[in-house]
Amino acid sequence: MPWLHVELGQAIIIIIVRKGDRLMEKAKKEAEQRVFRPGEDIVAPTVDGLRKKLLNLMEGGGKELVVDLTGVQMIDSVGIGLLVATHNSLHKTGGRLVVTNASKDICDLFKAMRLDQHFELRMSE
Amino acid sequence: MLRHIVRHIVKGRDNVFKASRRPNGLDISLSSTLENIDRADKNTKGFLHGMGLEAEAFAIRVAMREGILNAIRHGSCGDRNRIIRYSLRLENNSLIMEIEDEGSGFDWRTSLENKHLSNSGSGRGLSIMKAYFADVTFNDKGNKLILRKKIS
Repeated sequence: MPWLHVELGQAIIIIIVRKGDRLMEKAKKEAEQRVFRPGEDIVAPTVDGLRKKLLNLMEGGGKELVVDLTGVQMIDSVGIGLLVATHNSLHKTGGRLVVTNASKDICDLFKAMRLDQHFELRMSE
Repeated sequence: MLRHIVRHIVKGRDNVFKASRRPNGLDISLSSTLENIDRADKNTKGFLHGMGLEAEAFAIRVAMREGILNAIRHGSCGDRNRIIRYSLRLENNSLIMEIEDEGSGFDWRTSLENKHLSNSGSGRGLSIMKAYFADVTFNDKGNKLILRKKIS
């Protein structure tokens, strides 16, 4: 049954092409996305150091910046100011800021300051 | 001559951090440095833990940080030699926080009326305090912040 071989071959080719597309899509997304993990509280005494790290990361380009707040227990107005300024500069160039793994306390603070209306906010699970 | 005397008097005030605990309160004197905010925070966390107030800890700690930061920036104008006095006490189911600096005070009534701009990079200190404390006031001079909140 030669037709079976042809159809099987076509199916394999389609699977390979689709997988390739998915890998390319993933690579493209990764190239456009940067992840910043402060790993410490984002407060007045730490913000200058964190700002430098953030600027270095953003020099590499990318449209989406993910700020992963894993391990961050406290953020103050200076830390919020850093995130808002980063969001504003990304927004100007068509980019966006996403905050992930925020504790409930930090999420509540962001909501009280209405920051969830400006950038995407995801709580830690 | 006068400058020399003043310099002599204030010598060593840039490294002050004194904390004392009372049964229902905490008193801290600190030089106006950012590092001292972390030290005051650590003491506050310990005090709240001792009082069984962990559930309120984030709100109180973040307000304390904003209050001392404002005192350093605006009251002490960044002068490390100026001392800030911070106290926290539990009184009749109310938590009272006071932060006093050695500055000349400010027009706090106007500042409290102004709402923050959520897309601005700064100016959220008072808004954060107001989000967590029902009562945010100053003394007439404007160099002593008084925060009150009910504790359930």
